[in-house]
Parts: sequence; structure tokens; C-alpha cells
Amino acid sequence: MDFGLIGNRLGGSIDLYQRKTEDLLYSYNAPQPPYVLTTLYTNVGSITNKGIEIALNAVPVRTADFTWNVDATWSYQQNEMTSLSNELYKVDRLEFGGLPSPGNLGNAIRVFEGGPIGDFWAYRFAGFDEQGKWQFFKEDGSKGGAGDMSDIDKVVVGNGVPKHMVSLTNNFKYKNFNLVLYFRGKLAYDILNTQEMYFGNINWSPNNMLRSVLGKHAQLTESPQYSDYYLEPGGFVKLDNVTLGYTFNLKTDYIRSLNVYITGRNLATFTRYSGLDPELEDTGFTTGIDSRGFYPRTKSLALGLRVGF
Amino acid sequence: MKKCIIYISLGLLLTVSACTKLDENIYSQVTADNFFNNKQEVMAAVLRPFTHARAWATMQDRHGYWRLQELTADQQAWPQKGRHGYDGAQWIRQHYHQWTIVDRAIEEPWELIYWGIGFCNNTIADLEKVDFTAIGMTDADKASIIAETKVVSAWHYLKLLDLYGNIPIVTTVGEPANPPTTPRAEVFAFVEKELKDNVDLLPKLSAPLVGRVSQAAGYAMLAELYINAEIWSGTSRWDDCIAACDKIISGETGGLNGAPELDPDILTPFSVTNHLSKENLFQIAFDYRASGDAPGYPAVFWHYRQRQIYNAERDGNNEWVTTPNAYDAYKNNDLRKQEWFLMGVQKKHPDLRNSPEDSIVLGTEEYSGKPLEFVNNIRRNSEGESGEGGMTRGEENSGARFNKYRPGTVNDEDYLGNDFVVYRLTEIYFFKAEALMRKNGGAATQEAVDLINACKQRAFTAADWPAEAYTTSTLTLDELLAERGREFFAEGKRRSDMIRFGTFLTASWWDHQPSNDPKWLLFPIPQKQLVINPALKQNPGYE
Repeated sequence: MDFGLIGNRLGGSIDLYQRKTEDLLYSYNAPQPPYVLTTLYTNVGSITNKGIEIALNAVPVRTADFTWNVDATWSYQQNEMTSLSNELYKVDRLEFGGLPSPGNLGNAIRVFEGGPIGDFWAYRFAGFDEQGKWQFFKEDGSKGGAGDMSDIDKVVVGNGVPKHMVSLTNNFKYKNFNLVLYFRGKLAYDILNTQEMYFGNINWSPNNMLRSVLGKHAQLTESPQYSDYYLEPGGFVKLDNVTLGYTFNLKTDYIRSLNVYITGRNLATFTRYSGLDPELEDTGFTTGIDSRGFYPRTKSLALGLRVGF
Repeated sequence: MKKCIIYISLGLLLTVSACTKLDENIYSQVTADNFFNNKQEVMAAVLRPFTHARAWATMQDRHGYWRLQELTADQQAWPQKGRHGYDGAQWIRQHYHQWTIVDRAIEEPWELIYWGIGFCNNTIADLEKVDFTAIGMTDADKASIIAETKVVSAWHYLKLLDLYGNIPIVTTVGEPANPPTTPRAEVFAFVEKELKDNVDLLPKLSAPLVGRVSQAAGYAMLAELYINAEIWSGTSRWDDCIAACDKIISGETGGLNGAPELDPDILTPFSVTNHLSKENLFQIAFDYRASGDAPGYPAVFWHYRQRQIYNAERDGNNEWVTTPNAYDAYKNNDLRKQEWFLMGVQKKHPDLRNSPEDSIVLGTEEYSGKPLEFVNNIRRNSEGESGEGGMTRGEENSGARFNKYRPGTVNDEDYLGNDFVVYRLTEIYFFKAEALMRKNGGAATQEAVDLINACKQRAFTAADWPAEAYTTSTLTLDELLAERGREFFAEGKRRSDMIRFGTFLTASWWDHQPSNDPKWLLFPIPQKQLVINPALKQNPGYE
């Protein structure tokens, strides 16, 4: 639905959608015999995505010399792995996000038939004991060490798929100057900080370790274990574009227009996440896992000249 | 406006017709429709199960039929040697008969063998549709090739019958979706029928057929099937076994290098030129120079410095050793003990000695920098241990080492060219002798004695032989089992032999105590397969 009000000083659109995708391809364990190989790549599953997208545009100020234009967008999305099985192939869950060495910690993410994508499936942290060893909650609420835990003690401890995407663009024009301030953000998801999990653990020595080994994780003496201890809130808002430009009024036939600008990208990030960058993947099965090999995004500053002939 | 309508209608017309015709011309893959255009392509499909069989049937550092047949039996073991070889205790479980339904060592042979059956089923279905005369071959070729593929498939089922017993039978890829368990006796009947229906359509064994299945191989499979019939089907079939053996012995089914006869010595069947052996009947072919693929025995048997012993281009993973009881089962004047095993201080190959003093191979682990001396025990001697040792007490030099297949030197034309022998005439002689004895209440007939003596004579010098020759009173069934052990060491037969002679559950050897529970006579159906296919039933005792 699109709309425009107040002489088009306020306008926008609202979109609602629901999309069901069927015959998803996946590699299923095939009975052997009668098949030649142990897995079969075949169409079985289905996934449903639904959401709402709202875009608004307003012109709060418009005078002869000065215009302020605001664009804001917000989207919310929800997904569900509707089915993983049919009469021939039955799977009730899929696991993703295998955790790296050392230790055989398994997969970080579990998707159940009928459940959402991206759930973190882990032990619940219950503190450290006097020797600095891990304590987790067992299914019945009692505490146990890493060796006492088993699969039934794992629960959903978070989800790595961003639910909300927002953006805000402010466009200012004053005489020949123009200024753009562009914010964007993703909200409502968790991040598994594997850098803290492995590099922030004293057992990573003699390799380089994070300072948190002596700080935040000073109490911990045992090797890495996967639990909600390393799960952090991942929402953020970034100031992703600030552009200041000036357009010259040239009275010549050779040059039609000339605009000089300075622009900064990825200038600031506002987040509670303690790792390098809370912006990870939005789609796929391993969203929300901040891998150990993450390469930082650059902040950049550019000077530009736009000439029209 | 009119033009628009015309264009739009034309567009709609085209899209509508395009939507219903979904056949593709596939240019990115080879499918059965655009393959089998000449003899080369037909043979590529026919030979595939043989190269695949390298993985599961031959000496390999892989889970497969050969590994399960040897590590669960009384001649070889893969002990932990210090920091090496614990491997999640899987070799320990095999040695003590404690394997589980989720062991990869149980899952993978199943997968590999059914994979091979899948190839055969697929090839048979594809080739049935090919017009051989249109591609320069004959209808007789077609019959013979399809018969060969059926016999190869039957060989796979023969091995599954041996390992798992109660297994599903599938002859068409993909059907049925969940094949049910067939009881062992019916699997036996299926294998027998497939072999009998097809063996006489196979060509007789000749030199060009090395590595493939011929009449000789087919009758050898029948002989193996019948010698084990009492265990596998509940009914003994000694006469049928003798008949199958006679077919081969008579020469009717051909020979690899002239009429089939026993090789004159104990190394020829296993040498780098064993495609020229007179006694080999069916082997999985290897040609390192031509293909870059080497047989798997170096990785399994060789020490970390074994290349110095042979002047080879590779070392091994120091995995398998001979258990002390198996080495002691040979008399010291038995040429097989001297030739098929490495024992004592290991010398460098003469081509590798920098000086007369530099002639000893040195160790790398417990004996780092010291002479590498293989010893006939498996215990931590470097730590002052004594006694029988154990599966977790090995060192880098524990146990007599395999030297039955040798690689030659890295400069030899046939380096690492040993084919893996599946059946040889010696075994047919043993099958016949055993069947004769079993028919005779376990007592040796003169014919049985002559058959075994003909084989055993090669293992002794002329001077020693008279004292070692069997007579009808010295050749008992116990002695036959022992002699089978000595003769077929590491050939992938030992577990089946022990089961047939009734010692697999009751024998003690080295540090293995009797395992007693009859469930150990079969491997369990892998748990993974039971989960995927609800029509399968687990073997008794493993539920």
C-alpha cells in the first residue's frame, strides 16, 4: 500500500508479505541399499517467511533556501522451517555452525521442523567453581561440570537472525550545500562471540590471547566450552554515510555541473556487542556466529569531484 | 496499439508452449543417454566395481572387509604404541571382540560394499538397453559382460553374507525404497543362484583378464560359498565344494599364465609381477607406474623409516603387527617365517648405505636414534616391562612385521605393482582337502594329505621337507586350521576360517580371552542404516 499526504510532504508505503518456498534441496541420508551412495540431494523441505516493511518519507522543512528530507524504513521478518521431511525422507532437525578446534564442541545451531532458523542450542552457564572450571545447568536445574553434561541439557539460548532492519536518511540542502546523514541498523538478534570463546581463554597460550583473558574471563581456567556465556546481544545502529557536498554555479557552456564532496563511510557503530563488528550475515543457516577469522570492515573517507559535461 | 497486441500475443504463445516442454539437452554431464558410444565407454562402466573394490576388499588403511577379517582374528593386531595408535580404542575393540553398533569400522564396510553393488546394478540396467552391435561389439560380448557384472555383484553379496549375514538384497537402484532384511540362508540361496546362473557365461581365465572376473573366479566364489555352507545356510555342501574345486584344478576354467598350477615358490603369487603368476585366479589389479595408484599395504604395515629397508619412496604409518602367537605358529625352518616376516635388527637397503658402518635403520620414537629391531612381543620394553604385554603396551618396534608383499626398489620398472590376490589355486587345494576331511568325519584322506602337502612343500627346503610332510594321522582339522593360518596370513581369510572351525568365540591368543557370546559371529547391522531404513532388523544379541 502506497500513500501520500499533506501535498506529498508525507508519504510512504506499507508492504506485508508471506512467502512459502517448497521443494528445498538438501542432502539427505539415503538408505544404502537401494541407493548407490550414502546421501541423496533431493527436494523435500519447505520454509515460510513472513514480514512487514514500512517506508516513510517526509519533508519536515521546505523553504526557499533550506530543505530537509527524511526517509525512514523499518522491516520486521519472521521465518519458520515448516517441514524437513516427507514420506520417504525423515529428518526432524538439522544442525549447523560446527565449532572449530580445539575440542569437539559440535554444532552451535539447531533447526527443528516447525521452528525458526538460527536458534543457538547450548548449555546454560551456571558460573565457575572455585578452581575456575565450567558449571552449567542440567535439565533438572542442578549444576554440573563439562563432563557431566549431555545433549538433553541443551536448550535454545538465543537466535542469530536479525528480526528488525531499520534505516534513517536525512538529506539537508542549504543553498548550494548538501549534507546526507545516513543511519542503518539491525536489531533483535544474538551473536556467538567465538573470538572470546577461544582467544579469550588462557588455554590458547602460547598463542596470542585477548586481554580479556586477564580481565573479563580471569576466573576461567578450563578449555573452551560452548554455552550461553559467550552469547551477546547483537543489535546495532551504524552511521554509515556522512556526505557533505557543494555544488558550484558555473556560467559556462563547457561544464554543465560541478559538485565537490567529502564522504565518510562506516563512521560509527552503536552497539552493546563487545566484539569487532556486530554486523554479520542476515541469511543462511549460520547467522549470528562471529567467526575467529572475521576481517574488520574499514572506515573510509573519500574526497570527490563530480563533473557534468 | 495494434502492434503491441500482436507482439504481446506472440510472446504469450511462445511462453505457453515453452512452459510445457521441460526436457533438457544436458551438455554439462554425461548421462546414460549420451554414454556407451563405444567399447571404451562400456568397459569403463564394467571395470568400475573393480577399482572401487580396492577400498574395501584389499589391504588398505581403510575400514573394509579385509580389515574386519584380520583385526578381529588371532594373527594380527593394531596396538597402541606410545602416543600413536589409540584411535578412540577402535582397534582395541576389534581385537577383544567388543565392537559397537555405531563404530565407523562397522558402518563403512557396509557402505562401501553396497556402493559397489549399486555400481553393478546400475551398469546392468544401463547396458541391457545398449545395442552392442551398433557400437562395434557383439551380442556374445553383451551376454558375457552382463554375466561378469552379475557375478561381481554376487561376490559383493558373498562378502556381506560373511560379515553381516542377514542383509537386504537389491537388484535395481532405488527399489524398493526400504528393502527388508533377508535371512542369511536366503541370502546364501540368492548368491548361489546368481553364481550358478552366470558362471558358465564368463570367459575362461587368461592373461588379458587379470584383475577381472572369469570362470576361475566364479568357481572359486562357489567353492568359498560351499565350504562355509554349514555356517551360512545351515546345510553342509561338501560335495558341491569339491565339484567347484575340481573345475578349477582340472584347468577347465583357464589360467592366468598357461594352465593353472601352484607357483614353485612362496613369493611369486605376491610379487610386483604377480599378474604372471600361474596360481592366481582372481586379483585386484594395481599398476603404480601406469596409474599412480599404489596398493595399500605400505601405509598399513610399514614403519616410519621402512623406505630405508626397501629403498622405497614412502614410509608407513606403523599400524599393524603380527601377534606373538601367530609368529610362533611357524617353525623356525619354515621358509614362510623367514621370507614373509621382518624380525630383528633392520638393515638399510645396500643402495642407501653411505658407508659400510651406515647399514642399520634407526628408530624414531621409543628407540629414536637407536637401531630399529623388531621383536616378537608387544610390550613397553624400553620401560622395563616384562610379561605378555597388551594392546595398549606397544612400542614402535613391537611385533614381527609383514613382508609377504614387497614393493621392489623405487627404481624398478614394476615398483609397487603387486596385485592383491583374492583367490589362488593354493586355497582351492585347501578347500577341497577340507571338504574331503569333513565328509570323512574330520579325518584326513590320502587325497587330502596330498593336496595340502603339495602346497606346504614350497615352504621347506628339500632337506627339511620329509620331517614336515603331513600324513593321514598328523593332518587333523585343528592342524588344517593352523596350516591355513600359516599359509594365508594377511590374505583376509582368518576370521571366516576361525568361525568355520569353531574357534572364533572359544580361542585365547596372546592377550585375547574367549569372547563366548554367539552374537560376535556376525557384525551388527550399522545403527545408522537401521535409523534410515525401518524395514531392516538388527542381528540377534545387538538389539
